[in-house]
Amino acid sequence: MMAEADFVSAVLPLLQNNAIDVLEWSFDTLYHNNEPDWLRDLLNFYAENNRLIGHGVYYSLFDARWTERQEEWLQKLKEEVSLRKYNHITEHFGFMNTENFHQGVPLPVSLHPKTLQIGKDRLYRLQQAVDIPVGIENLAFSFSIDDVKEQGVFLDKLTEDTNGFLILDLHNIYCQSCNFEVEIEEIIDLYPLDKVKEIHLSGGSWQESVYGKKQVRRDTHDDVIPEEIFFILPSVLAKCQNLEYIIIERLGHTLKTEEDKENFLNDFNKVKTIIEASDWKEKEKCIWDKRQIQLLEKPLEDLALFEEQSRLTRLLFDGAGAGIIKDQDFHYFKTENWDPEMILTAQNIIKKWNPY
Amino acid sequence: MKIPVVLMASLLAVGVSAQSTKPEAKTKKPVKKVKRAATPDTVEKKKPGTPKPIVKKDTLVLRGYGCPACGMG
Repeated sequence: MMAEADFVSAVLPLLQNNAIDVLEWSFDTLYHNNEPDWLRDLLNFYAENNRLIGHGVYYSLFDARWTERQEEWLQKLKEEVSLRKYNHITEHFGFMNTENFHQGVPLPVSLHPKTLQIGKDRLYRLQQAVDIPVGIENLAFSFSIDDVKEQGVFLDKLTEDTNGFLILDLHNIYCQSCNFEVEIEEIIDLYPLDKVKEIHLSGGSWQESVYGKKQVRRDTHDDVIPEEIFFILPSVLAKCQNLEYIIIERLGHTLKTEEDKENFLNDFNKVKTIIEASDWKEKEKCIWDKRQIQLLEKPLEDLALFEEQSRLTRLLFDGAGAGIIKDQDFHYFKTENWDPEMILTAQNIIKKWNPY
Repeated sequence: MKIPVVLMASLLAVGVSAQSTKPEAKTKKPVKKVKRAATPDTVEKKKPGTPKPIVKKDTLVLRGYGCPACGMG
């Protein structure tokens, strides 16, 4: 659900036909007090009918430092779930460790015992704050093919102690497939698909390549769902035995023309048709019960990792050349293996969402 | 699950507001739209007359437009 009037205008026919079974709301983009009446009433209506799920953006699961910001985020989350019934909540893989976190962008981390430890600590605290299941979404952006290939394993390890689930964002995987020239199914099969409780679908855009090799696919949520995703969706539904929700994501301000709206509704109906033709809804689903975890009183921190995260963010923001970034003596980031094209893409994204 | 009539009515109002806040003559240049929003004249002219409709309340402008969360936005 988006708060823009253009979005409401686009989905009106669906709301009028009661065609939207579930709404996903990014509760931390616009906390309760700032919601217009219509939005509050709509979210409450879906919540009262057990059809609302929450999607966090700004917790930053792999931030190596624990600050008041995360404490405050968890506090606000507690308030939010006490006011409104969410079936579950989710967050993103990655870190955002700049001061102005509301304008930050999550960057990927590589699988390393320390980063895993930090991620687990943050996830424990998130799960401890609420009594509903907590899941994590795969990230679209990757610097290297190694990160693409290990993200499924990483997410599996990350969620193992909390009995957490996954959101499988198929457009994120589509981006990786295009940018690293790997078959989309090959990447999907690297994920623990029995943990997938939710699927995200969306469209994106192409960024011109500076190195002249190929265009870079970005997850900008501003266009139709690619045909390749529709093509693989039936087989993904068959593989994800515990799938419960399918969400179509689209930025609110990108549905301005009648054509945009029509295309969006077409996407919705195509997805609905695929769902109806599959039998995933009938299958018995896993129960994602909260597990008791022994939390360290003090949140885990790693100042060396924090320094590297900060340095990397700054280098990207300042537009340091790919060569300079690849030559950094990082311990936790294997920059020597990074694709220069993706370093440049990260710089574009980070400038767009200026975190400073 | 049927959306209550009162709620549906308010959603319709928001939907209509989205359409009525579009530039009247739908010319090609998006630049024009930006200009129109920034022109102080129009805003000032309306103030002394009738109070503004509540439409704007629903037209939230999120900083940077939307969600960077997927990491590729």
